Amino acid sequence: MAKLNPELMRGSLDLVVLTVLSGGRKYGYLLQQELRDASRGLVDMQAGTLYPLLHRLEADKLIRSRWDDSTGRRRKWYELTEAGRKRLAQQAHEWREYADCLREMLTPVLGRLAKPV
Amino acid sequence: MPEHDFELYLSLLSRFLRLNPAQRDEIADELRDHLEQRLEELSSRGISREEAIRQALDEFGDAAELASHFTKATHIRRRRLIMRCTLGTVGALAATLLVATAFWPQGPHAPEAPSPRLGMAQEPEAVVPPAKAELAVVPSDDLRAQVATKLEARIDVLEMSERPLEEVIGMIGEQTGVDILFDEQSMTNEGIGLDQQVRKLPVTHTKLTARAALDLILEPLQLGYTIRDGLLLVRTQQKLSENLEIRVYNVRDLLVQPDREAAMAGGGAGARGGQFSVESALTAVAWAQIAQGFGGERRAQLEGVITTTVDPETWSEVGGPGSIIQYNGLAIINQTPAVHAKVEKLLEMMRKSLREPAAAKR
Repeated sequence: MAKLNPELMRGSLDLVVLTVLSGGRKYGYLLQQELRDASRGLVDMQAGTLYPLLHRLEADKLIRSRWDDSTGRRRKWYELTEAGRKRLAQQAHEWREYADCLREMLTPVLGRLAKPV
Repeated sequence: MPEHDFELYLSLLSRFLRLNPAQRDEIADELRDHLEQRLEELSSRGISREEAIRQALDEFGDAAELASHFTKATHIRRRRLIMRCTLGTVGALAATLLVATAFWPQGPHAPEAPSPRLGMAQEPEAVVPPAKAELAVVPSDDLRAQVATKLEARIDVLEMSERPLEEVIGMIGEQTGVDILFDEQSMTNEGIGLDQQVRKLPVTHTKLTARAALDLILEPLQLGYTIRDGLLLVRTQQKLSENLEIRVYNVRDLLVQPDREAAMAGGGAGARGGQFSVESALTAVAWAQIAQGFGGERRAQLEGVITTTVDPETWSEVGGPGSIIQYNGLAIINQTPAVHAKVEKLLEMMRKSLREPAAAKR
C-alpha cells in the first residue's frame, strides 16, 4: 500500500506513467513494477487504476499500443507518441516549478514542526 | 474454485464493458496476462495459489467499477469524434442552405428550408397574410426559427439526472433533432469539463420542453447557449456575455398603426366609392404608413421600448456596448446573444398583444 496520501498523487498519475514510458516501451505489469522501483515504493499504483489510465492515455493519443507475441506469449506493449512526449515535457516542467516553489515555502515550516508518526 | 475465479472475473468484466467484442477481448487478454504474472510473483513469495488469486483479483477491484472506468475512457473520445464529424457535415449543409436560399424568389415568405436531418417531420411555418408587403426573411433567421421550434419539443429528462454533461446534451440533441456543439475552449478556460455531472432534475415533470431542460441544466454550470447557423452552441456564460452579434429583426408589423377601429370606421365611410372590406382598409392604412416611412415617432418609440425594457445599461445610448439602428422597417441590433434572446421575447410578447382584438381589451 502506498504510504503517500492518494489525494496528493491524484494530479500526477498521468505524469508518472508517461515518465516511465519515456524510458522505452513497457507492458502494464512491467510499468507497475518500474513505477514502484523508481519511486522507492512511494508510488504503488493498483492495477485497477493503472489499466484504465493506460487506456485513457491511448484514447487521448498520448501513447500507442502494440500486441507482440515474439516472446511466445501475447502481450500488449505501450510507448509514447510524439504528442505524449510533448505533454510529458510540458508537465514535467510545470511540476518541477511547483515542487521547487513548495519546497521553498515548506522549508521553514519543516524546521519548526516534528514529523508526524 | 479459485482457478475459475480468474476466468469468472474476466467474463464478468467483459459483460460489464460497454464496448465492442474486439475491444472487450483485448482488455481481457491484457488483464489475464497481468494476473498470471502477479500469480507467479506472489507464489514465489510462498503465498498459496488460492490466496494469490484472491489477492491479485482484489488489486483489480470491483468488476463493475473497473468496467465503467474502461468504458468511459473509450467513449469520451468517440463522442468528441462524432461531434466533430457532425459539425463538419452540418456546417457544409448549412452553408449550402444559405447559398440556396439567397437565390430563392422573394415572396411573402421564403420556402421551407430542408432540415439537415432528413426524414424528420417538419411543422410548416406560419404563412404571412398577403396583405402585408414583407421583405424576404433573412435566411439565418429561418434556421434560427427552426431550431427554436425544435427546442419547444417535450423531452424525457428522467434519465438525465446526475449523468455527465456531454451525455445529457447528446440525449437532448437526439430527442429534438437539433445539432448541439460545445465551445470546448471557453469551457476549458473556465474549468468546466464535459464530464461534469448534471444536477438532479425535477421529477415532477418528467417531460420538459428541451428549452426548459437546457436552461435547468446549463445555468448552474455557468453555461448558456446561442443558436448560430442552425446549430446550437453551448458555451460559457462569460463568453456569451462578451461576444456581440448582429441580428436583423423585421419590425414592420410593429411600426404599422394597429388601428383596426380607424379602418373599420373607414369601411363605414366606404359609401363614397362603393364597398371596400376591412382588409383592404387595413392594407390602405399600412401602405399609407409605409409611404410615410413609418413615422419617425413610432420608430423612436419602438427603440425606446427595447432599450429601456431589455438590459438598459447595455446600450450605446448610456455607454454600453450594444447598439440598435433602424432601416426601412428593419431593426439592426448588435448585442450579446443573451440580450438578443430577451429582445426576441419582448417582440414576441408585443406582437401577441397587438394581435388581440381591440374589443377584447375593453
